[in-house]
Amino acid sequence: MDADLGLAAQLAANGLIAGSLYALLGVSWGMIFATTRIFHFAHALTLAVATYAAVVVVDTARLGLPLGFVTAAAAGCLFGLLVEIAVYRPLRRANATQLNVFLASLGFLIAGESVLLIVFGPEARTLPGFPLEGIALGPVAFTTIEALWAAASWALVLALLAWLRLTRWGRAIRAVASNPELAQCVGVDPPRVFVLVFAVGSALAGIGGALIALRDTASPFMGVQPVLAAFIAVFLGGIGSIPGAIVGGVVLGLAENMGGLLLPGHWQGVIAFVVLFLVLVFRPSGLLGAAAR
Amino acid sequence: MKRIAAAVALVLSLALLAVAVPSGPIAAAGGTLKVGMILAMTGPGAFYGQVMSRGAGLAAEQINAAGGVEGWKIELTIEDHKSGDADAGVTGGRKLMDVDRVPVILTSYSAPTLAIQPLAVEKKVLLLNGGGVGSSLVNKPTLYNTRMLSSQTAPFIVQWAVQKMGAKRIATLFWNDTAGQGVNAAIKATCAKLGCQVVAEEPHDIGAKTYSAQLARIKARRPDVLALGNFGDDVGYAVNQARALGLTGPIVGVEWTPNAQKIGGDAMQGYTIAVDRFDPAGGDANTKRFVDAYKARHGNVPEFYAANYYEHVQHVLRPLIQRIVKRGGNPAEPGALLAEMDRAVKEGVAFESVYGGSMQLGADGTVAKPMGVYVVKGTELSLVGRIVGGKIEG
Repeated sequence: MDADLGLAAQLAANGLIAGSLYALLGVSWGMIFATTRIFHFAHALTLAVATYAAVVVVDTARLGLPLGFVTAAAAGCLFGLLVEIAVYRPLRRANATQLNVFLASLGFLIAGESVLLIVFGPEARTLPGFPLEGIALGPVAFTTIEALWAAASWALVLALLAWLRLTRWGRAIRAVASNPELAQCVGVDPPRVFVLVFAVGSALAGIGGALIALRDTASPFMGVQPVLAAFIAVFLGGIGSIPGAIVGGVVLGLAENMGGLLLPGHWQGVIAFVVLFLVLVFRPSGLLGAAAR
Repeated sequence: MKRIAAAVALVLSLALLAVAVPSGPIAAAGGTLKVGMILAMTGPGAFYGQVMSRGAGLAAEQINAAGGVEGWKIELTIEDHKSGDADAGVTGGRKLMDVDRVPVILTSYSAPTLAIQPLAVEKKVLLLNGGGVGSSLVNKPTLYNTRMLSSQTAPFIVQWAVQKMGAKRIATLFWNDTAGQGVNAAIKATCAKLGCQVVAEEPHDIGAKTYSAQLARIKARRPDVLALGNFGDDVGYAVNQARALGLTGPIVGVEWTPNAQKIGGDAMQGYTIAVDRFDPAGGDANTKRFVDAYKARHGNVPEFYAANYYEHVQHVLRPLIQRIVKRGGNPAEPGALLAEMDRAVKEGVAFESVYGGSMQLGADGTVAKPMGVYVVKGTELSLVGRIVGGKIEG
């Protein structure tokens, strides 16, 4: 019985840690999708490119981890802008369908991963510099890096929420996400807002990638799995809802891990999609979708 | 006029015949032998594809620079199984066998190797595996493994855990594929014999970087020892996360790589394995020659995956080609290399090895190489027990 309670507590802690990161990545991808309606699969490449930039700064140039995080945010931001300006904008001008844009994004991701593989090689690269210690709270154990995941993710997510609610640009983003035509009528320029959401969302993805690399190392294909989790978080929470992406991320993290009470751990991926399926069947707008609109 | 036309036709026919039949006596005197490889060139296992292709490539370069083997130069053609995807393996295998018409394929990973094996039987293509360790790779016609399989190594790690670590409750964390399942099955079987209990069995996807749910379930079962049935980088991630989650007991396994060591960091201290280990600093003249050449070519010390595929070309294919040519055959002919390999194994021929000494291949497709139990000390492996005649000494 004690072992079961201990297991439940440990799995819940694991779920909250993973859920925090999913929430961060969920808002970073969800903000771009809600505003531009682009299924930005290449977000995974942004995450990987930004992480490698941090690795170069921290591991190769030995300039320190704080500068590594700043570099990850800056590289993510610039790479996101590059994708918007060089890939998506020309496609929009050519009246490409959503499917065309999605395929272009997917192709860009695959090509980009191959370039990373050629440039950096297939070896996993570490992002050193953060003290790794175990933390034990009763039956629950986690590491200092995982504590950083949770703390940094929530700090960034809450800062983003405040920015979206309290600043002019934040309100412009919410306006375009809600109704682009109406937003245009009141003087908001959607193309500029698109650039802004790509910059901010990609910077957040870059920081998320650096957080992941602290524990799991950097590799060319590192972005797909976390960004897939971000998609699910966004659809779980409700498309267009930033609070929904946060809730979706936490629910996903908890569901994946708490499923371990009943099923072997390698069923995590299946549990994620079963939860998504159930939410979409019984609440197609997502957990907070309707309320947020 | 008719005579001139007939003469021209005759000359043209002879010319066409010469072009259309490159084999036979002319080809047997030398030529290019195509060697196929199906490796993990992309995906989470891309590191292995890189080092394996480097190992084989180095051997091919050395052979070609020396004028070939009995005049036969080696040409490598590499296909990608995307880190263990059996379908991708079959696509690559078909291309190598049907388009490139290779007489030999160097494979890796258990699932793609097993997937292409029936095709290889049909086309009489020799398969050499130096990476996959699944116990189901035994007794497969055309397939010879130059790496010891999980069914051969895993029992010794359980033996070590029980005898030296006092293990009574063992938990397993393993790849959810043929190789990992094979290790898990071997651990369970050995545990049953030695009187210990497997208290948790947790599979995981190949290339997974997070094991939080599996390790939490394992921790709840309070094992004395955690036994890993995973490979490559996954070992480093698993050991690191197990320690972080508070699993303080010994961790044992069947694989260690320098890259996994780098990933696992300090958590790898005390990690113990039973393997047929390639030691770049040990061995004999063959080892030194290989290590020096690899360092000169690639700037780093080779690890055992590079060694296994170097061996395939330099110490298995080279003598096979020599044997075929000496008996007047053509190694590029379909089935020639496979037949020669079968013959050599039947005769008990020992192939040279960069592990030191020689390696003996069995008719069931397994290999016998020097084995030992090693423990991580600092950032290196240290030998703590030799495995001789099925027993651990030390």
